[in-house]
Amino acid sequence: MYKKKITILFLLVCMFTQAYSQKYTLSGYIKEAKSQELLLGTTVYIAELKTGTSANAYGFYSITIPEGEYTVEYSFVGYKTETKKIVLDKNISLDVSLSIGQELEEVVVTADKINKQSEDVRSSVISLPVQQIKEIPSFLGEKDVLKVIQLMPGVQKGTEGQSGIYVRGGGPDQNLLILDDAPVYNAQHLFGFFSVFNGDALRSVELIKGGFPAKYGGRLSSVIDMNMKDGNKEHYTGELGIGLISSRAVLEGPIIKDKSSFLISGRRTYIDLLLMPIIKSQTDGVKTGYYFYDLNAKVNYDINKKNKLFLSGYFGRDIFYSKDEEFNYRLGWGNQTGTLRWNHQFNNKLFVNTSIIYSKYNFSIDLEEKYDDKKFLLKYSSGIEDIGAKIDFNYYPTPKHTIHFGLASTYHEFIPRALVIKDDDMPDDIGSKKIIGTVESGAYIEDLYKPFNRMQILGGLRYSHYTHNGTKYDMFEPRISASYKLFDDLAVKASYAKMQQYIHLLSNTGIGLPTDLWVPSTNEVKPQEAWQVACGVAKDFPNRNLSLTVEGYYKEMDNIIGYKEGANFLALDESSSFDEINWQKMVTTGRSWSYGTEILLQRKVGKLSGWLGYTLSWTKKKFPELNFGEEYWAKYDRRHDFSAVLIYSFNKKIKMGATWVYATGNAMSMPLSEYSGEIHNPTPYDNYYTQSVILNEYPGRNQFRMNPYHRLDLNIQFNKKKKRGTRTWEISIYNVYNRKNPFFYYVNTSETETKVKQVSLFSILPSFSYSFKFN
Amino acid sequence: MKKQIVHILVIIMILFLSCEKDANIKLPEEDPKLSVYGFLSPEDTITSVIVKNTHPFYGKKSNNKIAYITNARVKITNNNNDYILPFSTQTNSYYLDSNNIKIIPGEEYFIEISAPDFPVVTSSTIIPESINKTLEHIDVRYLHSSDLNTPDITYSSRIFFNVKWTDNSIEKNYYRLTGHVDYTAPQQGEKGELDNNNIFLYDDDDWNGQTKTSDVLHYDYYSGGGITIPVHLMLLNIDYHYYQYHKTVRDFDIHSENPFSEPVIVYSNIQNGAGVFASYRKHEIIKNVELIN
Repeated sequence: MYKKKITILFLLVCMFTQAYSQKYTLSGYIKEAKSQELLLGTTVYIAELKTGTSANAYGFYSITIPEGEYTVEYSFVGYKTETKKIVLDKNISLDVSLSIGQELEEVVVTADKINKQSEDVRSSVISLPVQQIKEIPSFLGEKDVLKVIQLMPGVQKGTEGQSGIYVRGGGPDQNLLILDDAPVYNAQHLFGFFSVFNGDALRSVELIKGGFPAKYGGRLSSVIDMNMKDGNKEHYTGELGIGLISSRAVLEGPIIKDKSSFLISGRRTYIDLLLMPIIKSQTDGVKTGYYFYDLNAKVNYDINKKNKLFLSGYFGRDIFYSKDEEFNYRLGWGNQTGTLRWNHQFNNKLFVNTSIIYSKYNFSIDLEEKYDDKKFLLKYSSGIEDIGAKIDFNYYPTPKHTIHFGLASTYHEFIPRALVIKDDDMPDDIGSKKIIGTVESGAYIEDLYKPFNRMQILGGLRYSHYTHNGTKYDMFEPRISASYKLFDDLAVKASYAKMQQYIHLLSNTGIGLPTDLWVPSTNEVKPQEAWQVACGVAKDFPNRNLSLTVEGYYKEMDNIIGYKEGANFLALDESSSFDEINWQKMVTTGRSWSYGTEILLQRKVGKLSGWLGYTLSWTKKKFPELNFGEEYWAKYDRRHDFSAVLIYSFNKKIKMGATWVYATGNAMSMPLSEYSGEIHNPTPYDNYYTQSVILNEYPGRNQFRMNPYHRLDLNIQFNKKKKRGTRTWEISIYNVYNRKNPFFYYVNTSETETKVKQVSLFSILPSFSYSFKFN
Repeated sequence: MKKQIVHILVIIMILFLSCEKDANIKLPEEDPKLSVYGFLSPEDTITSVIVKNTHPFYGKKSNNKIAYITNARVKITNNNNDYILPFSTQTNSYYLDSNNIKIIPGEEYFIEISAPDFPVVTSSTIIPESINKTLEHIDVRYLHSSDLNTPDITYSSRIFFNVKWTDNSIEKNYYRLTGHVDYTAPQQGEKGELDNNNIFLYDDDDWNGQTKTSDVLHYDYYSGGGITIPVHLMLLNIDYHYYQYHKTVRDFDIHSENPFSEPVIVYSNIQNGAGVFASYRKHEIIKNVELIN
């Protein structure tokens, strides 16, 4: 009895001590030592308590723990771990700088607690090391973020050379691509052969395939969150690159040392300039050409320790032109984004970011023609323009809870058609513009809860709301991710997410034409919905810097749009036809579901780095109005998809990269037989049968497969330290063993025979580039 | 615009095209089957079925690859009554007149066709019970060819027939609008049909129980000279098979050459074969219209 009372008393004392022992907060920013760039996602680990936190997207961290003396480890992959001894007897603000680890000294960058997959509560998330993007072999030497994402498990590319992304059975329109909080609506240059993200200006790239955090909304299948570099706050630095088809330049540096910096990065292709003499001689003096360019710029200003401002923007455009003395034709399309962000630290536990966001995608035609001393002018454009604002709070009350909450609202202006025609022969100008305005809003709250050391739960709820011309839709979107550590480096994870998408992309070409048109949900065409569950295991091998994730998923999408058989959206861009063609009548809605397993073995640092990724998946669709209501394989259903990406550093001067990909062929529809279809004539003419039409008999939609796709790319980089910087020569070979991968098939009918022909795009393609990085 | 896009694609193809070769893929192998066309109606004086063969899509071509099958056994069954339809070389179809086969509204008719060297095909259709008799002629509109911006005109005047009808809200309905003129044209090219090689089909999805007006039916002629002719305007209550088959045939015909449109899969309700076995009801009104120049 006595013993029992003592035990109860002891427990009460413990609880009392726990509840009322004094707690203090350790907070601050984590930066890169050399450039003073903020490092996001850095792990902060309190060794004595075996607990920790990580820096948010702006490099801010905060942890509230009992009074005491602690060893705090700050670690980030590729950087030397910084260890600080602190005496926590009051709130402490501590900014920490991490310096880059020597790549070849593997031990330096091997820290026990850095960015382990088994430590992360989230599943279905892949962080792309930006440095690796530059080291992977690329098409014509153009480093492309989206093409690297295509090499990840769970992500499929469309066709040869395209940068379209298909995540877990979803379409390219279901990916939320955000650059510094601004959505990018058409991420493709040159009909998808290159993407608009060249990697020079990027600090981080994260791909989220499932278990979406509650702050993201508006797309069903993935989030690709990209952050631009802030710019070096310490000194001026830059990089120049010359490639086979484009040149690029980056410049960054301080505006006011340690307080403000800038970054500007640009790229332009010059195929048109190189080919101009040939084209001119072939076209009787008509100047015809094509080029694209990108411009990224960012400035930031530290108002004081608690307030920071960031202004960033992207501007890119593709231009096709053709002109002579009497005729000037210009076709252009591109994105513009702008983000103004204000970071404010209310106190050492509450951080807030407010963003004002602008994004525009626009496609335009300008035609000017002279005839008989008169002039004809036509201007046509279509696109989408967004103005939005969002506010995100990060609250760190205890090490067990990290709470995120916020609001976002965006005004979308859809411009399916704007037309002006001026003709000296016409008494009046013709002009018309169709604008559709919609408002999409969201509110969310989310808690990262760590009930005990081995368990983490990220639970959240998002409420989304949409209005368009009196039509309203709303939805509660619950999200939850959980992880449980079975052993030190092995965790099991599971997630559930519900998503809603209020805008749709009209495009049935599948090859990223600039005429693809975003349209809003309406009374007839409802928002798309999806839910997804995923579960798997994550295992780290810290001594080898390896991480392995194995994950299964099931995703169901409803109200997704499909194109009615025979529907043709190219007609939509014909200047007068949008009002006549009701796009809502040309689309039909249905259901799609996808399931599969993904395996990723990744090594982010070391002499040999890279990853092996494998996806086994199934994706089916069922639309009441397509394939006569029968289910069918999605065009990009891939049974097997394998990628091997290896980068090997022989020494500081020479690096070699290799990529091998294998993918099951796309599903396609092929006719079985042909026959004569009779059209009934209920009038007495021609014996009640007026005409016959030769028809093709299909066994159903997408019943056949293209040949499998596989390809090997290699590159080698020669780096040399010079007085003012480092120069790099790179030689790449695309499609080393000259595999004739199918781009498309077509039926060739001669007088004697009908055959199927395969068209392939790229044979073996060597390229080289030169770059110089200034110190 | 479409032209410019295609030009750009051609430039890209030239820049990047590596090669074209015979595809080394497993192609479907298909034996010839029967394709069958039968449209039953209580309002028709004959019941007629056309039978042809299908032809493998790939490989060597043969002459007369698609032909009428004249030695088939065509059997239509309804309520334990079997009707064998004999082949007529005049019409290249198997048919019986209404004295020898009764087509009864609301009843289901089965068809079974067998022919040497072909698998047996079967199908069925339920004759629509209701017939829509609300078709009304509203007015006509004349258009002279000089008012049309069509350089390839072959007629001097066009007359449009504006009609309306009201949907029966109780059931799902499919319609076809058609017609003809009962007139022997003095000039070549003046055909009698009013749908001019189009197929005007409607479902009542967006206007269930409401009235529809349409002036799609028209007639082209060279010279009228004040002649008054009888015009037959027809509204067909068609079944789902009739509607789907003709809709998909129409879409196939329009879009089969377009590389940017999804392939159209033509509807068929024939088991082991192709084609359609469908039914309809027909309501006809006759209107005397003056052809003016």
